[in-house]
Amino acid sequence: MKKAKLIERKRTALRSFLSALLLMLLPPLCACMHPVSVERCGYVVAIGVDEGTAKEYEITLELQRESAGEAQDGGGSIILSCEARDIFEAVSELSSNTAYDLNFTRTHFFIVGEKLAKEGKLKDIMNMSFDVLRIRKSALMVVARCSVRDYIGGIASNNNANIAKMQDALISNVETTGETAAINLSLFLEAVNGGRLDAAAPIGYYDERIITDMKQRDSAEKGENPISDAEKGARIGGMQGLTRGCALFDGERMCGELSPAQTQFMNLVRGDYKRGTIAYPLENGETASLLVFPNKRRIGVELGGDAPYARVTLGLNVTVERDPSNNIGKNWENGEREKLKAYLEEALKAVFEECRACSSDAMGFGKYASMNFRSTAEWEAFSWKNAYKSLYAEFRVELNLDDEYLVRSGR
Amino acid sequence: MNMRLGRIGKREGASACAIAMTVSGIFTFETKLLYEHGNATYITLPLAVLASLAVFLLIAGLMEKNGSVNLGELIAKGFGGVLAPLAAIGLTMLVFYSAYAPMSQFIRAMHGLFFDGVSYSRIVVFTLPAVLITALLGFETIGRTAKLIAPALFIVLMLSIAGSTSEFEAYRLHPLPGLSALQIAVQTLEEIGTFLPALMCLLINADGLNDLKTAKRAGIEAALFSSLICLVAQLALGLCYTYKELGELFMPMFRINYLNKFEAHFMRMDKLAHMIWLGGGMIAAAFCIHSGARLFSQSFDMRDIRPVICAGAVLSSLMIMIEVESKMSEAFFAVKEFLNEYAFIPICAVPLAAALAASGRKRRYA
Amino acid sequence: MLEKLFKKLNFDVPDPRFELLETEKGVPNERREAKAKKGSAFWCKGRAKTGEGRRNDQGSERLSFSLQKNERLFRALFSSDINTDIIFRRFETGFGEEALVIFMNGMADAASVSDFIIRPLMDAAEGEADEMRILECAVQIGEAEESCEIAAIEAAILEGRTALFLNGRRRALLLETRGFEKRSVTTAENERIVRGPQEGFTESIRTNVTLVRRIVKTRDLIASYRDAGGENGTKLALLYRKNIVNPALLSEIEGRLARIETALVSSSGVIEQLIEDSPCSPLPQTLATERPDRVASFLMNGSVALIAEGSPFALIMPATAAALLNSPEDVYMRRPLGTLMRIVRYIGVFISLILPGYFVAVALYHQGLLSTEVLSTLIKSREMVFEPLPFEMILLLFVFQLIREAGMRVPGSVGQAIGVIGGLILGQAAVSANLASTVILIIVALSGLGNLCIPDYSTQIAASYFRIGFVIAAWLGGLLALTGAFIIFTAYMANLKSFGVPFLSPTAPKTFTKRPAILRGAIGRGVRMDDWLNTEAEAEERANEGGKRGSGGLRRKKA
Repeated sequence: MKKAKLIERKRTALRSFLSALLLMLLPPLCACMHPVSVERCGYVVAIGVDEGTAKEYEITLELQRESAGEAQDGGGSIILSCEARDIFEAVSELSSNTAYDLNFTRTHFFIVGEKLAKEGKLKDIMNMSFDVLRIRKSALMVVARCSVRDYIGGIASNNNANIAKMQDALISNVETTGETAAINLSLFLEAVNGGRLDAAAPIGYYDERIITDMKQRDSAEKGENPISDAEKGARIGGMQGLTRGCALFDGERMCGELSPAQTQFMNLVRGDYKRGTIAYPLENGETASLLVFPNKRRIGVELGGDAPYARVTLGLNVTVERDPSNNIGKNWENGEREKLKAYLEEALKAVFEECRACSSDAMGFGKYASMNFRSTAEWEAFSWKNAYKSLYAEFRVELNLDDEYLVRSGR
Repeated sequence: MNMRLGRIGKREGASACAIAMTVSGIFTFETKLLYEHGNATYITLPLAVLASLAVFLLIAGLMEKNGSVNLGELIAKGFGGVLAPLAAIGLTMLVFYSAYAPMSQFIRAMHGLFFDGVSYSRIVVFTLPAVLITALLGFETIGRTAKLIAPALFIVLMLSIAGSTSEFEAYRLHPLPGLSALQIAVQTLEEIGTFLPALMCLLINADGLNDLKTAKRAGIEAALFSSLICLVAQLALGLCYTYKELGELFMPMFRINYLNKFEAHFMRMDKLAHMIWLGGGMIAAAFCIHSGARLFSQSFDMRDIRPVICAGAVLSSLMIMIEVESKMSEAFFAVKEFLNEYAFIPICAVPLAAALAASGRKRRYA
Repeated sequence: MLEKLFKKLNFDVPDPRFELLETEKGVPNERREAKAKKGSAFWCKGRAKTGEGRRNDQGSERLSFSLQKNERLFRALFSSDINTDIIFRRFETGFGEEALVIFMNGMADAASVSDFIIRPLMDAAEGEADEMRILECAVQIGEAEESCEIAAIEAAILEGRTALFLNGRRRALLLETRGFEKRSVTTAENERIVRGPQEGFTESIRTNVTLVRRIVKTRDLIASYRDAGGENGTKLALLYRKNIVNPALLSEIEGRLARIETALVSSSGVIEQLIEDSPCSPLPQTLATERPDRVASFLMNGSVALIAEGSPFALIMPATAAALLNSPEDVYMRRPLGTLMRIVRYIGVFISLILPGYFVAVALYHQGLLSTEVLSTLIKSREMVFEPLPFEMILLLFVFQLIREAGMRVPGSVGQAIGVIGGLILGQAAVSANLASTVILIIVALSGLGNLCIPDYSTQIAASYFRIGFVIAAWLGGLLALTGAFIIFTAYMANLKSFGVPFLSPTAPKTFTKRPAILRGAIGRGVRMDDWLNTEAEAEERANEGGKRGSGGLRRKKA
């Protein structure tokens, strides 16, 4: 009896073991998941799309090179480029000429040529291809006012071996100066599809005059001094690819641009402005530098009446960085506040009118307009784009002079 | 009979049920249908959970009155003879469907977003063992595993939401509420079919939860917790994406961190978070398959639950393969759409009818 | 045909495993209650002490009145013509009776036999010689026992006691003269702690029980001696606190011990495999410890300990995952420090199990999860490595195991050198020779360190092989397969039971214990913490409280 039980138990254990083994073997026997080892991939950190000459597009890819500290001529990355009908053809052609598989999961930048942006072909490029190629929609978007290839070459400088940090640098630039915009593909698509605001993308430039750090280093090794040969006024050091100002979009089509100073005001209303130095022209022709921190932002859009009406109230903390007249702090309560307030309100209005003139709701008033509706059907029946053209916006600025900064910095 | 029931406490039961409900509430639905007329899911889904809870408590109360220890017994008492097995088959299929639904979404996500060029069937083959083994090990194991995994799921979800808070914008929720009162009511009713099966699974295994009272308490805890999670998650989604975008996105929860411009390493953990939630989906599937198998085995007086569990797991996998890879996909989608809209009717009606019939019989023969 | 199939697949058979926990409402399983009432459902009475009736053919054969016959019998039993270890000494006592002492050379202390048995008897005064008089006036030995059964006498002689026979008497005196050489009490070699007692068990059962008794000085601490069940007659001591242990648990353990029938039981490790719920499981279901303080701690909570002759490891039952992963030092340190140590340990365990597999999955399938810096370093380091990444990971994990095994087998300081050689030189050489990459080496080293944080040796070994399973899963299916493997692993642990107690108590199932599993709880003031044992003391407490408890968790029904 005992023996029979023991045999029974052994059989059960054996059966359980075999079943578990079969179940464990099933995946490897039936399935291959196509693993690709990490060193076999080329990681695309930037994609550029420009107008082609022979074919529709010129696609440029920037690949991250391995291991910082091994920088050589040409920068810390590899640039691949070809002309193609679409991004898929470009990827196929470039893949066949390289010793690795292209991997798009690390893409940080999407750069589009200005001409393409003005033609409004972006949405089609993005939607389909980005999902198929698994490009993250958190990649930042830049409009290049130069050849995309040049711009990518310019940002792929050898003193920036880690392109991922470029993304952080751009955002940090927006936060510390406000002179450019930052937008990623998700937000761009939201602007295009959602109809409540328009995108504002940073504009990229390429300045070949700039003597980069690597050039200086190389020349110094050869015993030359490139700085002495540099053109007066040209910037020395840093990258040849720059980002300043912003491009205004009407849907997916680029329709205008703002200067860096104008971009600051746009960012103030948009809510992307964290801090920055605003140039304040004085009566005597000089310019004061004011460090401005927003502390309040209230926007309301009313749709009743003949035309929509927007009221914007901004609260700003001002710290005087440099005042040639030495007047602003002293006479703050005696009229200087009012003068600055008037200047800022005028500037904001001017930027708004510039945006409205090119039908770009870059300041995002549509977001607040949608808050007037209770049902989706009503909102969809309403055309914000048309209503925006007759929008009247009133700007009110409340200023607060913060002189603690001066005390702390010992000035 | 070998029903692999064991015994678990209230917390284990609540964890298993909460995972099943939350997974259904966040990952299961077809976004196109859900956000067609606007985004009021932060209202309708929590309301649907509470409505499911109300139905659950009603059925449980009726079960207590007529002395049924579990749902299988209730159906046998209520319908008796020929009808009971048929009703059991119907409910079992609905429970299997609620095992299949979240898994199919996850597998489509795996195919589309994770694994390049890998067919669906291969992905299914990798998910099947975990679901099957967990279900085969029994109700006790399912409950305890759920209890262990639940905090991890909660933390991961909260971290994902917390990571996207910098991009929250109130305007994306507008128009508020977007849907009319009737539309909200209809959507709430439809979503009951998403949440109620998990609560029914608690009733099916009520004797494994010591008694009906414990099952009720577990259900209440699970439902309240799930409704809160669904509310928070749907609000977060609504603050990140407008209804138009949500309608076009597949599994929007996966992309909640894509709006972040500043991409720290932490922000790229969405894939890992998704995998952890896949683990939750596996447990939810195992829970539903085990419960469906239990109901079936009980109704047909089967001696062992394991063959039915195997059949249920294979059936769910087959349903996924048919949905994604066969020529019958179109027809399958139509059935799926139909079930998404009307599954709440049989899943409410059958147990309620059984309960009322059983109470009626008891009164007659008392 | 179907019936046969159903029978083979064990249909109709509910889970046969012993279940200690009752329901939430305290309704015990009827089967268990009945067994607990019976008390000896699995255990036959009369087997407790000496294993009589099992090992030998003598059965309950008794002595003869004749000294000569008894001597001949025992000479034949022990094959004294060839087995010269057994000493037979015949002499005449002072009171005129012939006497015989039989003892085993080496096991018994010959000096004690001479000085305290033979000489006093030879010098005894004339008069009636009965056992009482001999014990009261002549023999100067502390522990003595009478027996008339040959098997008992044989066992006593084999243990090192001396059997004293008198002519014309049918009973022998078994006198305690054990004096074999044994290792002295030293530090617990395999469970070193900084702060806490440093004593460890030895191979002597008596010494070990004494070490425990020095800490648990309660009258209800029972040390029940019994035969292990092997043909070699190894003795076991089952320790428990009679007033608090759960009778069902005790009964179950005794039943399992009684069912042992094997040729050789040489240590507690063998017994462990013979009495566990799932001996094929890589995870142990008993806690093996060298430390008497640890045994005492568990005994005070209502666990049962088993000490085997010849083994310096005691077994504690039941064992949960928390018990296997917690170190006794956690309790000796202050609460915040103990908590931090535990958190670090649990993180180490998690890293040990998951990190290699996670890394393989991410490197093969989900490169987007890696940061750019790690990615570029990894690519550079793997540029010239010929093996595929997962193979490299498995190879290095295997090499780590080799180094560990070699370090353990090689004696003394050379063993330490092996660790240094393996770690530094081999690793460096492997990188230089492009056999391994630095990043993978670091991953393996971290994983190894995490593994070594596990206090229990068996669990350490199990974890080191589980992680290879995770690596293989990650190799095959990336994070998808790793997630599935992790779910299966968790479900497996949730399904495991140790003498009726779920392995993952008190986390899953959640019990009433006030002591958290991971964080170090406060030292209780007379309150028993591990409520999943459903001890008698707890039942009494609840009965006194009137059974007022909320729902959730598991408890015992009021008596």
